[in-house]
Amino acid sequence: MPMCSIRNNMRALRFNRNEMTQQDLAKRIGVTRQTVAAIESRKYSPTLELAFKIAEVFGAPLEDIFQYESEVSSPTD
Amino acid sequence: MNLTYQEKSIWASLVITSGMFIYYFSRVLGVIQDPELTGSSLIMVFIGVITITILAQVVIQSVMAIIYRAEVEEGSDERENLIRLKATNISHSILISGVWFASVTFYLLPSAFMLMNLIIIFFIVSEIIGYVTQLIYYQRGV
Repeated sequence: MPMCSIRNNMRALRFNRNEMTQQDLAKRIGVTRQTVAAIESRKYSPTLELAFKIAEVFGAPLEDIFQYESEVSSPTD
Repeated sequence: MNLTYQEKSIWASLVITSGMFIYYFSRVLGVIQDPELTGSSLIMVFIGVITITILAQVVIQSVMAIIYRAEVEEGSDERENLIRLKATNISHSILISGVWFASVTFYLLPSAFMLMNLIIIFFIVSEIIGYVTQLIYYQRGV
């Protein structure tokens, strides 16, 4: 399965925000729950605008949430 | 498998389009194999298939929109728009290639009936590949 080169720790951040659900986050950033799930599982890289919205919700700098990986390895590697 | 409203909608379109494609081309094959039948006898079948396809799409998509009202009201987001855009790009390329192919082979085809059906084949195949591509992107990621 292809993985995008942007790593994120959204799941941990949601957990630390009173176990915010994917649906809650999706509603706050204006996307579907499936898109939040796709970002968390690295099936989709959000646009810069959406990334900033996510950072705003978590009150954290962008680089604390998203990290670029130059070499992407699949989980089976 | 947990499918979203968009995926269910695409599946519905895929089934309707494929079903009509199979029915229409089974009739076309009948015309090709039976020398007594002419292509013009398929005009009413063609119009009927188009009408039924449109009606089926309207009815099924409307029923689905009522059932999944909450998801419909959410609208589509950037990921869904990107999936649609990529699938449309592939679908469009296939259609254009098909029309070019039909144009180039025009003089090799025995009749205008064959040319028309060749273009219809490419049109429907491009639609089906567009739907399948979207479903793959939804499942595998984009």
